[in-house]
Amino acid sequence: MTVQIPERLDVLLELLDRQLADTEGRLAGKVDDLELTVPDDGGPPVVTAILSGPQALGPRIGGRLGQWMVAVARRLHPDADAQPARIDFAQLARIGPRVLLTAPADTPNQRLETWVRTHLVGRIPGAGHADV
Amino acid sequence: MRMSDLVGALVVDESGRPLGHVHDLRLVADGVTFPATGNRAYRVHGLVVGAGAVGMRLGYARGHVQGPWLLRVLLRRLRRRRREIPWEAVREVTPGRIVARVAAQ
Amino acid sequence: MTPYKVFFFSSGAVEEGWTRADLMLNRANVYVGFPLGGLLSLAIMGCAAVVFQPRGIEVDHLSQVALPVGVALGQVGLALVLVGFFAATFGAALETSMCSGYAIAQYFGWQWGKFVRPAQAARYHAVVLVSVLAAVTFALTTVDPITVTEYSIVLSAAALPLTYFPILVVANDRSYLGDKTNSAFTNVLATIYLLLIVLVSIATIPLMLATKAGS
Repeated sequence: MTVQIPERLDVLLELLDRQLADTEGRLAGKVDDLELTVPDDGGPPVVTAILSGPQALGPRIGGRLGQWMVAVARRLHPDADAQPARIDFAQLARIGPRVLLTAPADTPNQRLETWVRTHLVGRIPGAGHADV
Repeated sequence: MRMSDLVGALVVDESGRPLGHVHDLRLVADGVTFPATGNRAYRVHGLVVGAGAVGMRLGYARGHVQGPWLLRVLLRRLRRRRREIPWEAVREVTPGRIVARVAAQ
Repeated sequence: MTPYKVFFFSSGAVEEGWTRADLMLNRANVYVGFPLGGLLSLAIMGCAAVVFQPRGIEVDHLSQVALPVGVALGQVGLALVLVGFFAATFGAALETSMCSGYAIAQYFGWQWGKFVRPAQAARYHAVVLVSVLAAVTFALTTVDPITVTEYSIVLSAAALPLTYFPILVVANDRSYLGDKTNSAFTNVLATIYLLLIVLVSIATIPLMLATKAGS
């Protein structure tokens, strides 16, 4: 099987802030943070998931701006808990200029997109036609 | 735990002497294999600590970027002051601060 | 390599699906097109100087730029120049608003581009729309367009190193460009140019304030 991910990787240089895309080329956000799980046997932490979206990026940016980002995201998502969108690392197929995911993404962080589509762009005639 | 909890934290040795801030995490794909993709999971190999973050962030330290000459010379200098602290040396992780056992220099 | 040009051009390249085969064409585009654009700008300045300066006329409105052409080529020339005005201003409005959309969508990782239906890139299109509306609103405040142009050119010059430097680094990055990284010769020229634009960038805002934008 061809090598799809590098054996050694410096996170900030080669993985973080990369664009996520699924098998159909749809863009699915960015790698904003990583979830690390410390195993029970005391070994090094394992990367278990990619975290994406304003609730992951906000804490990383920090400060007032970061807090504001998280607050905006929460307003759009009042009933869920404060967890950022999570993509299990098992779904990561390939790391390159883009990070490719195996399945067509249950694209995370679509609340803002849906809101804008419903209230603004979707109402404009021609919104259903691509320019290909 | 998140990656962002480790990056940026100050690393000190067991006597409290500061060693630098964590600029990057070095991962190695030697964990369990995911059946769907055949990829192995990444485990944290070490913390990249010290000066020279800019050059590393741009790719000069790892050899991806070779030019232009002036930038390469300037940024490679910074690389000498960075070090990797293996994860096995980490003793304690608290918000913003990591204690590691390092050999005396 | 002003920021808006960089975002617009590179995003357009992705939308059009450029490949290695297009590299030659785009090199030609740069080598021929950019000098030609510079030449045309000089021509406009030259014609305006020749027509307006002897008469002591100050140019402060776009419509006056049509006068030298009308003088030289009559009504046909005038008609052509009006078409040209429309094309240039309409094109610029689209370019810059799309560039705002590209820059913001690409920062956050949103879906963008003309290759999907607008409804599937709603946030991107919304940013484009809002940019156009904001610009129109701004223009309607009857602010002097010449002043706006001067300030925006100065600010572009000040921001120029911020896009130039990353592109220079990426142009040398083998993990992105494979065997098409810069030659040593290109790098020498590029480094000299980088130093030059950094100097310009540092000097430009203080200079503008000191000369009160030439007024």
